Amino acid sequence: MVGLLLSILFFWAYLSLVAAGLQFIYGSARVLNLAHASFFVLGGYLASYLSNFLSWPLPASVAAASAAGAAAGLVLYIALARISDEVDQLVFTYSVFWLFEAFFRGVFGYGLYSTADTAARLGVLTLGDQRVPVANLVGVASVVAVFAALYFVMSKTTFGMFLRAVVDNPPAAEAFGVPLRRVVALGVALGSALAAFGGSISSMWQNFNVGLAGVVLVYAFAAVAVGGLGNVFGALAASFIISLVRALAVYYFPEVELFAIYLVVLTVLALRPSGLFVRYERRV
Amino acid sequence: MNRRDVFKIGAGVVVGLALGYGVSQLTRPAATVTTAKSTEVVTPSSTTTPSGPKKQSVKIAVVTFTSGAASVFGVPAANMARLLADYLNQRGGINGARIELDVRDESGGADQMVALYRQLTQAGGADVYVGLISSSDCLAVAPVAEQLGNTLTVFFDCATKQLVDQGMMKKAVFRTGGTTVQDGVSLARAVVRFKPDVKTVVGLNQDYAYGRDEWNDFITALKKLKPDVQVLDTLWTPLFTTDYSAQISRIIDLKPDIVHTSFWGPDLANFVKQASARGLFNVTTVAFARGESMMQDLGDALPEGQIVEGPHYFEFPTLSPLNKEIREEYRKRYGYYPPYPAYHMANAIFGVKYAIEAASMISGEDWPDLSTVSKVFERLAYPAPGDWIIMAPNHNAVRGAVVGVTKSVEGYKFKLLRPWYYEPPADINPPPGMTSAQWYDTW
Repeated sequence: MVGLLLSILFFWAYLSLVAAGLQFIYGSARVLNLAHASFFVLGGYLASYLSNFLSWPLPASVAAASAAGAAAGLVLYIALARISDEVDQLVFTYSVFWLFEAFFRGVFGYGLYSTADTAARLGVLTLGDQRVPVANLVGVASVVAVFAALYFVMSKTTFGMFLRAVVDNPPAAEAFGVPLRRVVALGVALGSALAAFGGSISSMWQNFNVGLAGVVLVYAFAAVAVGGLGNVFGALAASFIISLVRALAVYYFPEVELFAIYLVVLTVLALRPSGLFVRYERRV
Repeated sequence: MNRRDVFKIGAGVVVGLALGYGVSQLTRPAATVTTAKSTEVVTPSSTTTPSGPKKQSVKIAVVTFTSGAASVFGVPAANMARLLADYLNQRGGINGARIELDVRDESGGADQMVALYRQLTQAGGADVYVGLISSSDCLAVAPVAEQLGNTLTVFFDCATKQLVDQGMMKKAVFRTGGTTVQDGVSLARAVVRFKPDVKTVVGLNQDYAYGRDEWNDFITALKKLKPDVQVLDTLWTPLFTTDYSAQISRIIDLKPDIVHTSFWGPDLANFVKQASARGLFNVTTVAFARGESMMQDLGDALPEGQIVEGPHYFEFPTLSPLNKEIREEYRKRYGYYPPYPAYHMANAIFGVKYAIEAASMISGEDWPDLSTVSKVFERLAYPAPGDWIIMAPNHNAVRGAVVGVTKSVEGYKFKLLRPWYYEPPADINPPPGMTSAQWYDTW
């Protein structure tokens, strides 16, 4: 039982880390970023590289990777801002995805990158006959911290107020004096930083290698489809549902694990196509 | 939700599917293929045939994963091909002809591989085709290669037993690697040897044809050897999963004597690291069908006392000067010892060399045609760096396997196998002419 609960918790934290940035970028810039998973992978590669090859302490590696994600996000925004057509935006972020793949292959090669060795030194707690790696607890804690910080920013700061206004109605927000471009740019940068942060934290328990972005993107989209596009906190709840269903599938119907995640997504799309946690349905 | 949102989600799903296409190609169940039968009569070359000008170069097309997650297999293999091209060219190439490599990516799925095969062998001017890691790629390319029937085609890695059980390699196609039968049987025998009191087993394999074949061959063999063994659970995971927390929890709850896994590449590395952190190796022993390929990458993360099947292992054959020379050269060039995919590539390249040279010697021609080479190749035994390769009339190598137990050894940053031993081919393969199912029934 303890094992089952632990696995639900760990996978929930992982999915939340994967999905949060994608939601945030869609929420602020209304851009469905197909290169999102590449930012996640960038974070993982960078944190592992800094920690393993330059012997940086793990927190510094995570911070640097997140900062690099933010910078890359800003560049992405500057390029995206010139493209107004949504289809073109999709195609553009898809190209960015492949550019990242080539970049990863050229810079990091074909090896496996992770900070698992450093993470192992954080130690282990014992719970019944289950060993609980501290690294995974750090992962859970960082999810809680990130979402608490996001909540604070969104509800208590001027930037958060501007951002919420932009999410609801960009032209109206601009008419009321919200500096639209700056707010959106900051939103995209923050979302990208979040993705890279998620990757760098995940590097404590998973490897980063060529081709990973395509795998992670599917997870991100599953959480987004269930939670509802653009809702950061919906992703949190959606991740929990997916994690729960998947763990139960592994325990009681291991044959369907392959479909467990898609089963949740399909059910939600069939019953509530805009996702479970949308504040209100946008209609044309 | 407005129409744009719907469109965006739709587009996202489409792109996701496109990205997953390669994976789906790997997971696609293998279709039953009817092989085009051809009864070509081999005309013995007459001594009066005027021999053409001496062949200056031989173009070998090498197809293996150089992108995507499977490149952890493909790149070490491609590296070996490049090394051997240089190595052999310094020593007269193949029958005096200089080897020219054309390395291509295996990504894109079975249909893509068939198209690439046609392109390389028709327009591309490849004299020899060496390739393919994915079983579904091999099953798709084999019938086409047999039908075209004009290019020596050597599969170096894909392990599906259907190629032999269904007699799909007849004229142009050969495989210098083993099958899942050899993996399963050698691993089951190792489990009985190292854990003679084994009672309970859990299977943890990837949910596609290869993973299911590996599990079936392992558990069939193990149950023949130990009829009272009980399977507590069979866990199936999607290919390229990054989180195994649920499977690890389940295994720790069940505490089986043995966990069987044919995980490879990034999945193997993710599982081992996560399982190690969660203490899975404290409560059970894992038998790895593909553990050797990741031993060097895993370093300390792979615990001691785990059962690992090669099929190749760089310390074997211990006394072979060829192995010593090639593996040291490989390490000097690429920074690591050749893992088994690299040895598999060497089996193929040396097979091509010896088949052509032996056929030339027998026929007296400088560059004998395919049917002559084929007749020689299917009865050939030749030294490769990782083993002595014995080909059988079913066009498949009858391969042995190295099996051992992981152990830390002074001076190495990764685990070695101590002890390890070599399973001779006859003990772990059905005799040629018998399918694996028929063979298991004779046990």
